[in-house]
Amino acid sequence: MTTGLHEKAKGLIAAAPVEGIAVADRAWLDAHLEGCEQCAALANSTEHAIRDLRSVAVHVNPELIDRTRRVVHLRVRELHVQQAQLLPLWMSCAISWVLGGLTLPLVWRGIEWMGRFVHLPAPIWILVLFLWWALPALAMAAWAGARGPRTTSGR
Amino acid sequence: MDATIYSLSISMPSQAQELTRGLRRRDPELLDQLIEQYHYRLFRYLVSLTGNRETAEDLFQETWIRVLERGHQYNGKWKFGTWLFTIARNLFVDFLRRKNPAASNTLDDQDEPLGFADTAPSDAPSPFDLQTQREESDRVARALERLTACYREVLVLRFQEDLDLNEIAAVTAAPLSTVKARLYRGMDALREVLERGQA
Repeated sequence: MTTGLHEKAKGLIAAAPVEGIAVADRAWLDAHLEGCEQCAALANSTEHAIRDLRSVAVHVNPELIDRTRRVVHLRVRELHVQQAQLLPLWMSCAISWVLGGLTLPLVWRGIEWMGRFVHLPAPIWILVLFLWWALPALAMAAWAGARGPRTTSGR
Repeated sequence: MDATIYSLSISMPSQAQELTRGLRRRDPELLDQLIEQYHYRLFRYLVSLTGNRETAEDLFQETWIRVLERGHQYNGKWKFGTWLFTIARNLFVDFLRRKNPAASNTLDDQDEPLGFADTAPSDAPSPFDLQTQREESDRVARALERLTACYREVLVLRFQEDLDLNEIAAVTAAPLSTVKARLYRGMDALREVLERGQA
């Protein structure tokens, strides 16, 4: 047999478990293996290696599974509480924005009048107006950020 | 029983949406069922990645917490198992970074073989079978630990977890050609190590 045939057989032996081979290639390989001891030994050892690999087993401590379930349940509760706490926060932000939008013309005129009264340049009283509008949301964001991420205890 | 029914059903595409919705809702019962269904595969994968039971146990818990917290990101594009392994792998990469911040970011350059610890069969009908299985398992585990992490990982995903090549590429964030090359080289290396061990 030529070296080329052995190389082809080796390639097919390697490819078969990794990505599979065509039916025709399988038939050719089977025929080749019947007449080639060296390639048959390679195919055999490849098969053994895969079988051995599949046979590796690990023991999972049932306590680990129970502990994991407890930690996951605890975290579920924490996340639900956090979500419940965030709801009024979002609602107050939304109400604040809506009210801010509705009262904008009035507040604009009031702050503009104040600005002129104390001789403030336009960019300054516009900044004050912006702060008036954004302050509730900024304060809430700062408060939420200051609380930081909560971690699950009991691991 | 419920877990069995669920394990059959989540492989069906129509039920994948239910899984997605359940993860978004952070349904504790669903998480219990998933832990029941995937605990063995996940733990075996983590042991093979880390080579250490304690680290594997820590990462096991972290993985499920991450599944809970990031459940809304699961879109059903991949099987749940593939997504789960991806999370576990990312956590292991983070663990390596914490352990050695100067080291590379991925498993690809983790050339140092890891030591397997305390691998044992999960079930055995008799003490003799148990002993035989344990010895066989230990022998292969020792052979695996002598391979580099990137080879060990793809071999485990392909032949223990039965993931297809595209799924392995997704889990390892590597191109398909790289996955194939690692599998071929890994198989060669494993066969060689096993044969040397038997000689």
